[in-house]
Amino acid sequence: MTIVIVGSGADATLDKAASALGSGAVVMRPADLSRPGWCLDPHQPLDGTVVAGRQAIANRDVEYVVVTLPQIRPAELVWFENEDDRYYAAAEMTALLRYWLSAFPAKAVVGAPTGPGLAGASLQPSQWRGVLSAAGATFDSSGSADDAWVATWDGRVRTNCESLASVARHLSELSPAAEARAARGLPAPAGYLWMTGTIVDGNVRTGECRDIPRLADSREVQAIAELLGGVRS
Amino acid sequence: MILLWGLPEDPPMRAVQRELQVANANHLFIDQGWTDQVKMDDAGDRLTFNGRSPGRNDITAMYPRPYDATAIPGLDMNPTVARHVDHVESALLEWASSVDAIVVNRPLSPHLNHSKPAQLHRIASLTSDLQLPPTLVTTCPDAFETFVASRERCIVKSVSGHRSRVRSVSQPDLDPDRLASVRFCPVQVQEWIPGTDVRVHIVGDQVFPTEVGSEADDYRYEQASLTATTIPDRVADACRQVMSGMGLHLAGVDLRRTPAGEWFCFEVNPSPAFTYYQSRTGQPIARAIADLLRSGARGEDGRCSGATRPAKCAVAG
Repeated sequence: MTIVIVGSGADATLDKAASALGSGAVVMRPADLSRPGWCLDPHQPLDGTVVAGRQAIANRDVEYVVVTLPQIRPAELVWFENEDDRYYAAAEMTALLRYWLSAFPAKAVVGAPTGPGLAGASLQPSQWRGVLSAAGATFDSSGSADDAWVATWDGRVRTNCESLASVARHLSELSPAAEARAARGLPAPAGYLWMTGTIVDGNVRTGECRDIPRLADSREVQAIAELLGGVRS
Repeated sequence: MILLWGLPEDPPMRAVQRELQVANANHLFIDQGWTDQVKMDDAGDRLTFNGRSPGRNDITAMYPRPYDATAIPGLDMNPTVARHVDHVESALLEWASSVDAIVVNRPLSPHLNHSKPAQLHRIASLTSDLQLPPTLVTTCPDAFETFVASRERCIVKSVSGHRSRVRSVSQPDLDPDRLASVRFCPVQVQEWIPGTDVRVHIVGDQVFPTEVGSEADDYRYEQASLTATTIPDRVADACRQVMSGMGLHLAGVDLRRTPAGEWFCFEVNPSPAFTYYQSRTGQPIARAIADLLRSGARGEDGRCSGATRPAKCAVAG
């Protein structure tokens, strides 16, 4: 069983996260798309091979994918001397990863791309409001600006609702790590496997929602481990 | 009200607007060059432009063909204007994604729009009446060489939409030094399919096939003769099925008819520049699009017979 974490070459925390997820976890970085080993036939995705952690892996051995990379930035592809080539390669690598993630028959893809980026939905704050509304949230009327809002459930403002690996298509219930009922309900309306919400009240009138894991946070790594453990069982 | 959004210099946009004017249809054209003059309320539910102020619920149909706002001449994108333009365009993209109206087209899922192998994979899942060319996406020089060696002729094309010109694989591509470069960046290689190119534009239920006469690997960059033609019902139905399955009302489908009578599909364009074909064949594609947009005001949903209503996209792209 292999877990592939797709992340930036500049993110040094991913190796630690991979270790925490177990011996079968490897990190796929943009440099791995510049190594021989990728062989994909769009008609037979299971039979292909990919490259992660500098090694070729059979597609059928990859069971889970965790995507933390919103985009491949040309600036990261420093082994291309020509700037135009960096832009071209970034577009080609992005298109390849989009295909692999969309056609890939893994059991679960955490942070799967559903928007213009490689990970998550890339929603605007106003669009997150729509997702939160569908999950039963109401909004403080004075917080109507796109970048400053407060979401409320059950008449109470929730503060710091974090580490919410959650229920979607593959899972019916998760561990106590999903502590807030409102938060547990967040991903389901949008069909997400993963979502983290940070909602702060008081002097700082702001809100944030993410559907891309941040593996520098050990709580999120732990939540991912529990999430994948739930899928396995 | 029918909402048009794009640039007046864009030939497809100009052609559709002209047809709406001829039909005296109630429409508003949001010229991207004047986005700084568009007012959009904070909630993104109502805009004001050119003396009119429709809310999202007033929109019966929409034809969005937006270009990159940062590259539009005459639009001074200082930070204040840039913020305003971003607010307006985010809201309009959100309308295009989710407004309860006929949208030609809603933003296509990005992996279908910007990843050719992903699109092939999707087409294969939607119909078995169109064949797809044998394809390999690889960073393996050996696999590339083996794929090419086992076929009479192959072409390479980009995996994304960048530098998307198609060209034949030739002997210099198999030179060891050149071949070794395959490892640095994914390359997509396909078996070359002999035959005649047919571009099919589909507007709702209507099908406009154009036969392309060209010897070039990629006719878009060469002189080509374009002639209106017909295609078998089975092929037309397959095109409609693919279009509908991708949640589209309008598509340009690239087909090739082999000498043996097989039909191969290479790509589906969700935002086709149909005027290139219309101007040479006389096919009334713009009028069909205008009719489709006008059907929204009559409470029709513009669906193809037997097809499902296009799914709402989760996000604009």
